[in-house]
Amino acid sequence: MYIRKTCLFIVFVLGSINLAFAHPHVAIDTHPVFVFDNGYFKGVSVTWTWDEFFSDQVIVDYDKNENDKFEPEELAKVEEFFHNIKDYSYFSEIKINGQDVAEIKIEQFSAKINPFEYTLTYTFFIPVNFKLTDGDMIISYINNDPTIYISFSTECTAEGLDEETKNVDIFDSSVKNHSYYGYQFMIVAHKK
Amino acid sequence: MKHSKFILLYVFLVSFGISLCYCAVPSGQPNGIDRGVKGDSLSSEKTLFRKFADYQKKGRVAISRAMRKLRKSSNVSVYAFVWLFLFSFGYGIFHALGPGHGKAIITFYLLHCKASIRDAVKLVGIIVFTHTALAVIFAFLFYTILRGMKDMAGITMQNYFSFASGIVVAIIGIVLLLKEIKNKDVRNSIAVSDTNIYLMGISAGIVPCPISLAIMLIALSTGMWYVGFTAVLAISLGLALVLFLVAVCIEKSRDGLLKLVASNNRISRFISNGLAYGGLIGVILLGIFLAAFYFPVMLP
Repeated sequence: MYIRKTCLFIVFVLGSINLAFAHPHVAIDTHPVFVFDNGYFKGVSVTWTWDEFFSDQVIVDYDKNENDKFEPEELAKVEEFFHNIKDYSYFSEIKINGQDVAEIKIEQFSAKINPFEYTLTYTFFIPVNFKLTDGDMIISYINNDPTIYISFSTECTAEGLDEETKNVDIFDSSVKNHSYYGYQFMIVAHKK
Repeated sequence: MKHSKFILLYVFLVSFGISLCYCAVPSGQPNGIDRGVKGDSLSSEKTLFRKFADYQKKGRVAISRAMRKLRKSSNVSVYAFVWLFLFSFGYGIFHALGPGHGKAIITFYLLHCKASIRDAVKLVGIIVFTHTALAVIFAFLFYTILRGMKDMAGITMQNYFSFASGIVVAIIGIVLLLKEIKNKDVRNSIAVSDTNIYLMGISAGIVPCPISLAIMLIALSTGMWYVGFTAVLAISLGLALVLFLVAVCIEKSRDGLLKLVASNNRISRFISNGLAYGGLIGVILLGIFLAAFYFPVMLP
């Protein structure tokens, strides 16, 4: 009796306390592609598909004519909205041989509505322009929100990371969990 | 056993929580130097945290679809409303079972003092009401006078309010602990004061519910505030149910433990002192943990 009650008490308490983490409220399916050209690591081309719930908010707010397409002026507003996460470095980190790339910038932003899934897909490019040197270059792209507001998922496999490579040999690639809800995509490149 | 239903439900909750925390060990290679193996992919190795997030996502999608159905149909049917309510209620329960600091605050606070079922209802009611009402208020503000701020406001709000919540919880814990040290003779039967319940409830629930906020924003943008309000109400009821179960289980098990040792004055005093101080120290540490977690992300 003593043992049972004491054990139950301990289990109740530990169980409740152990759940003191935050949880995500928005989900993004991410698919990065490492882009190489002419001995340079040009950057990462990223595709993000937002969950249906979050997409609904953006579509309701920005697709004013409800034609399931963003006209140029609507797209400009979506892009402006997207840059609100600049302070969070677009939840992206790029590391080359373990060193952070100074600042995450966004180019070639585009957004489209997937009318059947009712989701929103953003595509953008993060430029790096790093000249590859002799030897292995370990390049990683991380999608993670340290505030645990956003969770990342991916259907991306390691083979799909190096679709755009010119004059570069890819020796190795991997997709790994990063922190609680992030992903790390890694590639080992070698100049030809 | 008198409270076997509560206990069964709680055992389910606890096993879920423990498995989340101990089995879902996050991994990461911050330096990016783990070369891994060619073709490594974790799509088949989802952690339990991720699985939980996936289920939550499915719940949000269900609510989103139910709301869209109501929005796009020319006649709002009772059937669609009932579905929305049920999906939202289920989501509220699932949402509350997941990671979050509310359960921990309730646990620590109720370890510290002797509360009745009425107190538990009051504490849970205040937490859920604050959590939801603030979200609804902010949705109205973002829709009206703060229109330019609503984009991704949820993330910034979560950071600021969680930080504030941590600070307030820690301060309340310290104040109660100081009072406790002063009145050490009455420790065996610390009664819950209404003021403390309000303070603890508001500080625990002060982070506006991001899902309720998003639902209300969509509902207001589409002119269907009553649809949003129905969903938000159902989510709150689901949240309240789970938190109430947590509160009752903690209170009953605390009571049971103290009754077991009631015959031995020394042990009884030792355990009740331990719970009174331990609960408050837990409240303080949790507050510090929350504030410390969110402080770095608020820095420019």
